[in-house]
Amino acid sequence: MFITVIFLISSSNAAIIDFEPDYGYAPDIDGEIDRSKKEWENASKEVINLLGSSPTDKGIPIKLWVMQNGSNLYISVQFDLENHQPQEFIAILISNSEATSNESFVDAKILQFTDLGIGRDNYNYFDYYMVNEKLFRDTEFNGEAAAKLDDNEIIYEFRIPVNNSDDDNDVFLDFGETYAFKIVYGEFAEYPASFKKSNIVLIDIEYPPKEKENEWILIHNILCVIIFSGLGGLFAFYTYKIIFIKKKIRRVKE
Amino acid sequence: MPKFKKEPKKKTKSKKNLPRDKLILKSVKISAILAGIFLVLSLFFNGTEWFFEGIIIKYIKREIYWEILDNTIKVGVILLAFFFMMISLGNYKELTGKPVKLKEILFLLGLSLIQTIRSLIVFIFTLIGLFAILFYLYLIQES
Repeated sequence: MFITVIFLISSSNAAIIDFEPDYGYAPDIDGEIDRSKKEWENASKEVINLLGSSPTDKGIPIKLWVMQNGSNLYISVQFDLENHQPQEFIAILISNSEATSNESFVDAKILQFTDLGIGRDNYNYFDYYMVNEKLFRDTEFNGEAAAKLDDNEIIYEFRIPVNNSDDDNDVFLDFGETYAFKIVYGEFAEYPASFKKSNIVLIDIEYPPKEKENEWILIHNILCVIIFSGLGGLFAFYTYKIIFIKKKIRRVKE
Repeated sequence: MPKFKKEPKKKTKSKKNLPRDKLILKSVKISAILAGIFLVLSLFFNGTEWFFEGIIIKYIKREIYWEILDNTIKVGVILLAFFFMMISLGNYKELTGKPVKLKEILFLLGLSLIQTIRSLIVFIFTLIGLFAILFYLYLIQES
């Protein structure tokens, strides 16, 4: 895990953190972090503030967790609020490069609640594409999201495909490239009018780890076969010696 | 000519020793069987790819307590295999009238440690355990 703080300025169009996510086991996208399954254990974890347009806005401090595997990028957003809004949402806007200008963001993944805190916490996942800051719904939804409210803490989980999207409406997240991601908090389902607070991070899409690990496991396996075969052979020899020990004892006594 | 023929001393001694020899041989066999059982268990717990992660955390729950139990089992089977093998070898050597040599103990020690190839934690705790067993066996041996 390696996180670099690039800019400490609070400009709304500047990325504050560069994530270099580690590879790990895919977490279940269910709005819950199951620690018994070591979910999100390998994630790069950072706390950032989602800021509003007002310079005096204290913002919402969120825990932002990022991890990856060979086919997906996983992002978890967690925060505490005393009053969650029924139509609260978290949107993840994806830039087609490292650029953080508003026009650069061309893809949006949104988890939208419909009755948070007052009903059964129903939500929908939407996949949008963006042109000149306007959002249009994709014909095909790629990725997945889920969220769960527990007391005042809410956990959002997103799965975004990497290196395998055929959808022209989605940003093709390529290995070895860095992309800007804007995390947006809003309180009613009108985009982008309801984008209330946000912040931008950079995420490097890492190449899959080299095959060295697999080679090492293979070497381990071969060594284990040799070692335990050797031990078995020695034990068999010892058993043979025990079987014929009576003769030896007789010889010793004579 | 004496009235009663004296039995040869050697034969009498051999008769007296016979039950003890049988007892030791029994101990050699039972200890070797137990060592063999624990060696097979060690093969499953320490040697196979199936249980690379640990059989318990793989099939029961991935939690720290279960991981500790898993590693304890891995260390335990190696130590028990070593313990019974040492007893078996010691008794075997006693039957043949020779003491267990240092190089034989070191050889067994090496064979036990080599089973920990997959895990550093298991290696460290096995090493500590092996020395503890050797110290215990040293203390209880007849002077």
